[in-house]
Amino acid sequence: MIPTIDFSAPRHRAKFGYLLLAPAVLLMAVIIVYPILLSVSISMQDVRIARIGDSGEPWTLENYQWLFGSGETWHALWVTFKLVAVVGGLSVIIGFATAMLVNQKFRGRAAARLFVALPWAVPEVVATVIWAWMLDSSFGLVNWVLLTSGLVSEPIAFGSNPTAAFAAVCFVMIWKGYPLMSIMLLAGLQSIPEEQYQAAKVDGAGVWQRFWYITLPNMLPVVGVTMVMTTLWVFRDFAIIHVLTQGGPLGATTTLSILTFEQSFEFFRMGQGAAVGVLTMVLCAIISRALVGRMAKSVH
Amino acid sequence: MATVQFDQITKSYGAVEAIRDFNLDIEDGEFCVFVGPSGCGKSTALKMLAGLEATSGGTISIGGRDVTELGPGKRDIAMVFQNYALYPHMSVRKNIGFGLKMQGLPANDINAKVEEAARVLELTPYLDRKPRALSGGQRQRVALGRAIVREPAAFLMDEPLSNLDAKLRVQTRSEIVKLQRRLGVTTIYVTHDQTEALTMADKIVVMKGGEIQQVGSAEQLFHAPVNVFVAGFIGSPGMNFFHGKVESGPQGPVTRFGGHDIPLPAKCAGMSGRDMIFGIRPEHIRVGEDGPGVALSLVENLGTEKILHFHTPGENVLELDRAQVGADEERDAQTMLIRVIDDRRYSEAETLALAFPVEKLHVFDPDTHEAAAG
Amino acid sequence: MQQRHPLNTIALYLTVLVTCGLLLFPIYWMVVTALQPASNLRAYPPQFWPADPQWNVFADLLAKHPFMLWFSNTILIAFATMTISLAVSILAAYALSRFRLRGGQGLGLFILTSKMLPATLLIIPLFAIFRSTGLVGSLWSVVIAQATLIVPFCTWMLKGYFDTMPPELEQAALVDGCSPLGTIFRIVLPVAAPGLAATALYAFVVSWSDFLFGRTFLTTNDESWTLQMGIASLKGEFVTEWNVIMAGSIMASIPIIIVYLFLERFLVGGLAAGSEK
Repeated sequence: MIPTIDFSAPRHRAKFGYLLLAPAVLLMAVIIVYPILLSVSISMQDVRIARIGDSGEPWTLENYQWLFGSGETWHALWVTFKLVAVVGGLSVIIGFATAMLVNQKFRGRAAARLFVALPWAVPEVVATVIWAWMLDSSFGLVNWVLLTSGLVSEPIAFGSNPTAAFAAVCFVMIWKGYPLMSIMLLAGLQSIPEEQYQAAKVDGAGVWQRFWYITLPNMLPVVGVTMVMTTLWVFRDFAIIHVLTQGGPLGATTTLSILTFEQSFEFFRMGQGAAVGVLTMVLCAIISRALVGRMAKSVH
Repeated sequence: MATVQFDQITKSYGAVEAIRDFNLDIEDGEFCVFVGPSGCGKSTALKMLAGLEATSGGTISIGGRDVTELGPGKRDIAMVFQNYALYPHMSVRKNIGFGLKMQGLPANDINAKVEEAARVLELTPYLDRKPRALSGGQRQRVALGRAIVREPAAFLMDEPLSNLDAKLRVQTRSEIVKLQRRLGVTTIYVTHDQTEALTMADKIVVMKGGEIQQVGSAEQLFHAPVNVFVAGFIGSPGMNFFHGKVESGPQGPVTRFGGHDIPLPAKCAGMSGRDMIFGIRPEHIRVGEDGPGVALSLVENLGTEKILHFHTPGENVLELDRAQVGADEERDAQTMLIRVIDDRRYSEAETLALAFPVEKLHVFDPDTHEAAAG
Repeated sequence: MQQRHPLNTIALYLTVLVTCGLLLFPIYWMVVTALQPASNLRAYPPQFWPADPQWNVFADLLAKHPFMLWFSNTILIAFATMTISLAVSILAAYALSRFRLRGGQGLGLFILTSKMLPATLLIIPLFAIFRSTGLVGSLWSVVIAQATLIVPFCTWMLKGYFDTMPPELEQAALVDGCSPLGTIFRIVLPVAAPGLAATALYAFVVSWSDFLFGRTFLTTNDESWTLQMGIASLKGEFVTEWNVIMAGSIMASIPIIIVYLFLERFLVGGLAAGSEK
C-alpha cells in the first residue's frame, strides 16, 4: 500500500511546493534547457538540416571559424548596433515625450493614455504591412508627402536603396517600440512624489529646471531599464525586418536574428545559423545582465 | 475544550535558533497570552501550534492528542489573524461558514450556526456584505465569528487588535475576554502589548529571544518578576533600575542613592559588599518624605496621574541595553520616573524628597539579571 | 492646484490631438486604404477620406484567400498556448511566491533570463525536435514553441501578483480545514482573478501576434497557416492588393486592440512587475 502524504501537515508543506513547481520545471527543461544545449551542439557540428538522433557528425569549430572569419557576421553585428542606437534613441525620446504629455492633468487624459500607446497592440506583421504600403515607392503616402513638400525631387525607393531600407525598418520599429517605453515611463513619472515638484516651485524653479533637476534624475533608472528592454527586443526581433525587407537590399537590414534565420532556414546551414544564434544569445545575456542584476534583488 | 502542551519545542532556521526549549502547559479553558518584543518568537510559537510552521523538535499536544505532525485543519483549532485574513471574494456569511463547509456539514446546519454566531457578534445586518464593505471593527468581528462558529478545541489569536484604533481596541479587548469566558474555550493569544497581556490573560508567557522568561498570572509577573527583562517589560511606565553597592547599616542592609542610605530587604544582608541592580516601579516611589532629594527634570500631567522625571544620580546610573531590560522606547538609562496620583502641583526643577518602600524594592543579580534570592 | 491659463489649455489639447493623430495615423491609413476602391489607391494626390467605402473588400478577402482557416488556426493556437501556459505558470508562480524552496531562487533567475533568449536561436533545435517527432506543420509545434516565451513571462508576472496577496488568506483556509490544493482553487485563484485575467490576455496577445514560429514550423503545411503568416504572404504576392491586405490587417488587429483596451489598466502594473521589479 502506498502511504498517502498529507500535504497540509507542516512537515510536508514544502513537498507540496516542489510538486507545484514540477510541471513548469519539466516543461522548461524540455522546451528551453534541452533546446539550448542542442543548439550549442548543433553549432559545433557541420549540420545542414538538423534532426535529433543523428549524432554522427563529428565535433568541429568550423562554424565558429566561419562566424568570426566571414564579413557577414561583422556586418550583421554592425547593422544590429546601428538599429539599436537609432531605434532605442528615438523611441525613448518619443516615449518620454508622450509619457510627459499624458501625465499632464486634463479631461480625457485616460483616453489619451489609451490611444498614445495603441500601436503596442497592433501585431508586428500588421504594423509592417501598413508601413510597407505607406513607404511604397510608387504610390506610398510618405513619398507623396516628401515630393509635395519639395524635400525630395524623385520618389525614394525604400525597397532597393540600402539606406532608405534601413530607415524604413527604423520607422516600423520605432512605431512598434515607443508605446512600451511610453507606458513604462508614465508609470515612472507617476511614482515621482508631487511634493518634490511643489518644493521646487517654492524654491523658484522654472519648468525646465524642474524637468532637469527633478524629473530626469528620478527617471534615469526607469529609462535605463526600458532602454535595455528595447535593446533586447531589437536584437531579437525577426518579424518586422523579415516581412519588410527580408534583410535586404544587399544585407543593409540583416541583423543577427535575420542572419540566424537566413543561414538556418533559407540556406539550410543550421550549424552556422546556430553559431550566429549562440553569439546573439551571449550578447543578449551580457546586455541583460544589467537588467537581471536589478531584478535579481527582487527575486526574494 | 482542551489542554494545550508544548513539550521541548525547538525551531531553527538553518543555524539560527528561533525558539529554544519551549515547555508550557495550558489548562483547559485558560486564556493564555504570549507577550514579548518583536522577534521574540511568540508568533512562531503560535504558528507551530497552528501547524502553519513545522517544529524542529519536541511535541505539541492539544487535548492530550499529539498534533505535531498534523495539518492545521486536523488540529481542531480556529485562528484569528492580525490582518483578519477574511476571504475577500466571499460574503460575511460564506466567510464565517467556510470552515463548517470544509467539515462537510449540511448547508442548513451551517446556516443556522452562522446566523447564531452573527447574532452573538451583532453582525446579522452585514451577513451578505463583502468584507471590503465593512469597517475595521466589523471585519475584526467577522474574523472572530469565523473562529467561534467552528466550536474548536482552542482559539489561536495573533495580535487581533493591533489594526484597530485605540478606543476600539480597549472595547474589543473586554469583548473578547467576555466571549472567551462564556464559551470556555482554551485561548492562546499573541501580542506585543503588555497592557493587553495584563488585562486579558489568566496566564501570561513572557518571551525574549526565543526563550520563555516567565510564566505566571498578571499578579505574579507584576510583583515577582524573575529577571530584569520581565520587570522592565511588564508595567507602564516600566520599572526604574539603578545599581549600587550593598552595605550593612545599623538597621540592616542599605545602599547609597543620591547620597542617602536606602534600606534594603533583609534578604540582602548576605550580599554585603556586592554591586546589585535594584528596581522600583514608578508608582511605588513615595514623595515628600525624608530621603534622597532629587530635582525634577520634567513633569508630565496626564490628568488624574502625573509622571515625574528626574535624573538618576550619577553613581547609580545603570548602563543596560534597552532590549535587556525590556524597557519601552522613550526610556533612557539616566532617567527615573515617579507616578503620582494626588492634587499637589509639581514644577520642573523642584526638589523632592523620595522614599523607596523596602517591600517594593526588587533586587537583581548584575551578572545573570535574575532576581536575587538572598 | 493653480488654474491653467485658457490659452495653455488649448495648446495642451492641440498638442495631445496632433500627437495622437500623427502617432495613430498608420492605423487610420489602414482603415482608409481598406475601404478605398482599388483604383483610388493609385490616385494622385492620395484620397484621405473614403468617399465611397467599399465594404465588399471583406467579402473579397474571404473569397480570394483562406482567411477563415488562418483565423481559426490562430485562435486555436492562442487558446491552447494560453491555457497550457497559464496552468503551468499559476502553479509555479504560486510555489515561487509562497514556499522557501531549495533552488527556488535559482529557478526565479533562470525564468528571468530565459525571457531574454533569442527566439531565432531556439527555433533551430526546436525544428530538429519537431522534425524528429513529426510535429512540423502541426499547430502543436507553434503552441509548444510559444510556451518557451510565454511560460517564463506568465510565471514572473503571476509571481509578482501573488506576492501582493497576504499569505494569511491561505493560512486561514488551511486552519479552516481546506486542503493545500483546495486552498489554491477556492481562495488563491478567485482572489487573484484580475491578475490571472491580465496574464491570460497578455499570453493571448503574444501568441496571436507571433510570426516567427509560424513561419518556421508551419510554412510547409497550407492547412496550418496563421493569420500573421497569411497577411505577410499577401504582401509578398506579385500583384499587391493593398486594400485587401489592409482589410485582412484590420481583422487581424481587432481582437488584439479589443484585448488591449481591457488590458491597458493592468499593463503598466503587469509589465512593470514582470520586468522592472
